[in-house]
Amino acid sequence: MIRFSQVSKRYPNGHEALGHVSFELDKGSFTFLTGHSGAGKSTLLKLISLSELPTRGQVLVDDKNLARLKGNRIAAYRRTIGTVFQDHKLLHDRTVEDNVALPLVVAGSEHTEIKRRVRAALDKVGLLNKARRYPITLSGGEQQRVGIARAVVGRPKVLLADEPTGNLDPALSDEIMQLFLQFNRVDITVLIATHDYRHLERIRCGVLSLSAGRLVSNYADQ
Amino acid sequence: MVFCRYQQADLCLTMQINRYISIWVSRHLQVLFDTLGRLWKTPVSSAMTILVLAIAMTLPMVLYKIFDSLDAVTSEWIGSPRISVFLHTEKENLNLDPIEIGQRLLQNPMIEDVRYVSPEQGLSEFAEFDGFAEAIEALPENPLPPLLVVFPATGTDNEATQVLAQELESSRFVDTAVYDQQWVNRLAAIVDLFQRGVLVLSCLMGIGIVLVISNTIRLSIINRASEIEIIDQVGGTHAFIRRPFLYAGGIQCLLGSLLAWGLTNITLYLLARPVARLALLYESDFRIDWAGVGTALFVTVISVFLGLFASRFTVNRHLGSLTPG
Repeated sequence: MIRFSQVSKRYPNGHEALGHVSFELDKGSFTFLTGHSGAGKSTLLKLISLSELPTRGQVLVDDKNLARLKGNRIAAYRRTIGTVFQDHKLLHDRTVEDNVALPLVVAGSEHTEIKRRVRAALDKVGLLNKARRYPITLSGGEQQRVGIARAVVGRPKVLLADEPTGNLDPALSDEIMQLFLQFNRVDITVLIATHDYRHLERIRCGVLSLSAGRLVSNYADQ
Repeated sequence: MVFCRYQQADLCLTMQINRYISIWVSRHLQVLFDTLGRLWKTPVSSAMTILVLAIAMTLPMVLYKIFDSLDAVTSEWIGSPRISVFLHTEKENLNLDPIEIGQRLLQNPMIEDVRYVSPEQGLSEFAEFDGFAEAIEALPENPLPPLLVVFPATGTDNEATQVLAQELESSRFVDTAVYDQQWVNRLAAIVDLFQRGVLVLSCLMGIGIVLVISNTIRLSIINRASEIEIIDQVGGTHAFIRRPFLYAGGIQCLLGSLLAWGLTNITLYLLARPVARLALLYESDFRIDWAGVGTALFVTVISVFLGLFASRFTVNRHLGSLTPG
């Protein structure tokens, strides 16, 4: 599903965030991406979500070379990727349901279809009763679940999460992980960047470890 | 997904097309109302922007209307040169009837028409001017000589007209013959100059509109930077991101030009009386036309186009930074 071959990323300021990274993730796999801050986890996720392009090497997702995508194809590709951010990235002037609806609205879905799928996604993360609330009135854990609902509402093939439990207490953090596992069961390829090693012990999954931009270990657990 | 039997393929296609059209329309309506809502939520800054745009458009519109009207009048004057022939008073003229003199002049093939203005007529015309009436009453007798307005035959050029004026002056009935074309020419040159000025001013104001809209859109992009980033992340196309800003620029220019239309007509109304008085002093029935629907439409189309151009340019500059690199 996701294949990196000899991928390097050097930012314009000269900092090399990733160097010669190669790995492959199968369809429907569940993988943790670990490493200290600054190890290159976020950069790796950004290469998959096509927010950045590699300086060298190739990133293939679903057999598509991402560097070849241009214009509206970039937007179309991003609709197949769901991303969950540590800081949620919610729109605070819109209600929970409007936030969740965003990927469907930009995709041009029909109104009734949007309504139905937003309800389903909110139901999944247990926030159906807070659909009309504004994000600012929700707790951190709830806001994160809104972010997750938004990431999955478009039925993506790949779900990326950058430190999704970074700001949450252990109980909430476990709850969020359970959600990711649920989505993984319906064949979504999940890649989660985290430095919360507790989850690695509990969940059977693949682990990619980065250190200073190099891939230092790669356990595939399939 | 629409399922249909083979025989109904046409119907199926129609349904698909209808579906796309309805999605397209509802999307645009949503952006339209969203944009109006945003403008309404920040009434002061929206009103200021619209007012700035309106004022930028009003000035060239007012000047254009004035000089457009003036051009019509001067071309009428230029089109028919005339010589004012002041006759000796009747006593000096051996009691010869001025109308008879006029008849004689008409025999000259270089003269197309002659109009007689009697001293009484002249006096009553003067009396219409402010302040003149009292002065005229104070006069013991009518000081005005009889006047023949001579229209040279069509096609007579400037020099020939001048020669004709000299000929007329040499006549024993005539006191002076004035060919006052020069000031008309000068006026035409001045009008021409000002029209060029209006054109240059309009271009500058057009640039002003582009800059005002660019700046407004730039500020609203800064305000909505996180929203743009999120929409980009979840797969919004650049067209989708651009759309609300295009609407904002277009709507502000639309409202600005409608307001400018109103302001222009208010300004023209305020100018109408003094202009009419001035025109009367120049013996002209010169009136400034109202800025009609045609003018409004013209200005609206141009300003909305400039607004869309400015918004698009500004958003595209920002979108460049969203392209993965």
